[in-house]
This record gives sequence, C-alpha cells and structure tokens, in this order.
Amino acid sequence: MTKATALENKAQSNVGLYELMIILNPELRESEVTKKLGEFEEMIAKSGGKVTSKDYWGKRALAYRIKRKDDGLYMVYNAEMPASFLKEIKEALRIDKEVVRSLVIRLPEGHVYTKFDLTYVKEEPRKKDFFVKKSSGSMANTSVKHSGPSVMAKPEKSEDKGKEANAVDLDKKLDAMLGGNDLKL
Amino acid sequence: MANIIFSTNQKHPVGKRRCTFCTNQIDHIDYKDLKTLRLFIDGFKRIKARYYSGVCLRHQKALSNAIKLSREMALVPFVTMYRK
Repeated sequence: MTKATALENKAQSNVGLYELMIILNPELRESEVTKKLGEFEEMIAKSGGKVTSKDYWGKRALAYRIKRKDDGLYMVYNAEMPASFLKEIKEALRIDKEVVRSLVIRLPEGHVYTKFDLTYVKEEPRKKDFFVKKSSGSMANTSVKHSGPSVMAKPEKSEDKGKEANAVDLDKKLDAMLGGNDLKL
Repeated sequence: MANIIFSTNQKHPVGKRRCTFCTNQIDHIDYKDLKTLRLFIDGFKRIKARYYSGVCLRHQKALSNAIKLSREMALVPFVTMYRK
C-alpha cells in the first residue's frame, strides 16, 4: 500500500486509537459482568471499530469512595474506533447504572498496551511506641558521640558521692541543721 | 516498562539537572503506571513541584495530566486521610 492510499483510507474512516477504562459495580456477578462488557464490545464492533487489547483487572480498592462504593471492577480496552462513535459510547457509559465511572482517551499512534504492576501498597499504620523507640535510640547515640561529660553520666556520679557521704557527713549536716536555732519548731 | 532511574535532582545546580523522563526516554507517561507516578506525588498526595523533582517543563505538563487522569479513575487519591 502506497503512502497516498493509506492517507486516503485514514481520511475516509477517520479511525483513531482510543483507550476505554470502565469501572463497574463491584456487587455484580461474574455472568453479569461478562454480559455487560459484551454489550460494550458489540457496540464497538457495530460502529466499525476493532478491539485491539483487553485487560481485566478484577476487583480493586478505590482511592476514595464513589457512589457509596469502596471497590470497583476495572476493565481496560484499547480499541480503534471512528471519531464519530465517541459521543455515542460516552453517552451509553454515562447512562448505564452499573458503570461507576468511565474514561475515554486518545492514544498516540503506534501505542502498545503495557501491563503495569498494580499491587496496592498500603502504608503501614504507625505503632504506638514508634516515637518512644526512636527517642531512646537517639539518646544512646548522643551519649556515645559526645566527647565531653554526657547528660546520662552525671546522676551516676552524684549517687556515688551520696554513698560515701552517708555515714559521716550526713550525720554532721543533720546535727547542724537540727541543732541550729534557724528552725523554729 | 522496566524500573526507571530516579533521583531527586535538587542538590544539583539548575544547569546540571536532568529530567527523569528524558534520561529514561519515556515519551508517553501512562496514567496507569502508579509506580512512577508515586515518585512525583507528595506525602499529602499533591503533585510535586518541578523545583523538587527536576522534571523538565514538557514532561511536567504531561505528568500532571497523567496524575489528574489517575485521580479521576480513583487509582490515586486527591487528598490524604479521606477514609481509614
């Protein structure tokens, strides 16, 4: 086929590559899903389009609630469709009660459908002792890093001093305090 | 698509920054490619500014369109703490 004829064909049919994404009601049964999707495929075929690739994702959690639904059945089509047919299928998708949401976009020429890794990564909830653990760890690190006298070491020294002073010094101090005339009991 | 090479680029001066999509030679940014989109979304689920990600203007525009499409199809949230 020469270039000129190819261009002519394109102008006549006005066909482009489109991607259809449909989110269906998650409460549908399998048979109902296949029936519903069959209807759309028939519509595309009737209009003179051609489905180039299908990808059924199955049930998937929505990022936010739509029409009181937390999940959706995802289906992705890549199809060559005439431009005049777009209005028709968009209207059909809008009216349909089982379709939660839909999307029709134009793809660049020669686009090949690629499957992506769609595993849902949940952010782990913070543990209760998350902050406590981190703070204790940082304290230990600081005590090692400091070249000067650390904060942790000080109370130990004072305790040692107290033990030594217990026998003699404390008695003297107490006597001084009790014997003095400052305390007016 | 293989795993893309990603760097935050922010430490480099403006002249030496390289767009991640230019280096990986990605022409068409897909709205279904959540692994790459996640790199350009904030902790608050906002689109990161070009200043932080180092993406070139041409790709930033395509990227923002892709993120907005995936938001519309509930693949990526608009905001955090919507539920749960």
